[in-house]
Amino acid sequence: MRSQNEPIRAWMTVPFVAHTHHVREETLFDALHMQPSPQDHRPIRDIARSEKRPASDLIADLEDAIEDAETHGETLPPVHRAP
Amino acid sequence: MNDQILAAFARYGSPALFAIVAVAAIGLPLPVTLLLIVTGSMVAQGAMDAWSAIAIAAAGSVAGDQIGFAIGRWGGTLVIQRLKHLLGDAKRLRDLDAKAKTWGTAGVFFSRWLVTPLGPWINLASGASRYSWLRFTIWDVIGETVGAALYVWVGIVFNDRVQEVGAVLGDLTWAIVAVLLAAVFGWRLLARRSVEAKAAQSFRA
Repeated sequence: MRSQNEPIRAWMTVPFVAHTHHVREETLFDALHMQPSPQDHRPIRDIARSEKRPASDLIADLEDAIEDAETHGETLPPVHRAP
Repeated sequence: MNDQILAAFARYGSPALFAIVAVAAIGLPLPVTLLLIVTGSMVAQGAMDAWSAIAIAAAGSVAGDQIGFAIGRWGGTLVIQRLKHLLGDAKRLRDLDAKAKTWGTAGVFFSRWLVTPLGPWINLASGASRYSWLRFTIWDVIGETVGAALYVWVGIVFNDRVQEVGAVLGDLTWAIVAVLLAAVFGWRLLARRSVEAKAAQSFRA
């Protein structure tokens, strides 16, 4: 499973997690009850601080949302960009 | 520490990239390999431009290297005394000076991107041993550009597996350093045994 290879860390932003786990950003922002914003460059730990929740809680919510997306076949194809 | 560094990069982007690689080049052990791979992933996501990312990373590293070189050269007696303590007496420093002239170019180039943990030491030693600043800077710029391009490219290719690849490359770098150190100590041991054998032979004669 991709999520086991690339564990979610508190330094990551929501768009970064969405990219590395091949799910839509909207899915993950929804899981955190936030308005989707590709320009949101806040790391998860900063979001957790502003929401007054532990970062581990947010990471668990994101992992659940990713698992749901994988179960329902809502993942995206990997990006192969030429260097 | 790693999380704070990477969070700063995620939040502030290019200025943080420049500052982090510069501080790491001076000698603070920061996760630069992983940072450059994450930068490559950001490039693949369209959040950064590849050429600017490489230029900023190389420029930051060169700035840090120049500070290290300047500390070695003009850092006063304290740095020289510390280097003497680490590297040996005045004769040993003269030997180092000669070796820097012979092996300096390769040392500067390869420590920028292949054996990166040695980079800050080579900067200090190059400054202290009066290695040519111009030659140091030329090979520093080439080496840092190669290093930045290489790791950013790895990040672009493995854009969804940055931590896994970062861990493998980090281990690989330390393995190369360990092999190099083992080779140096092995060579010195053999050289000492050869000198001792010659001394014993001449004593018997």
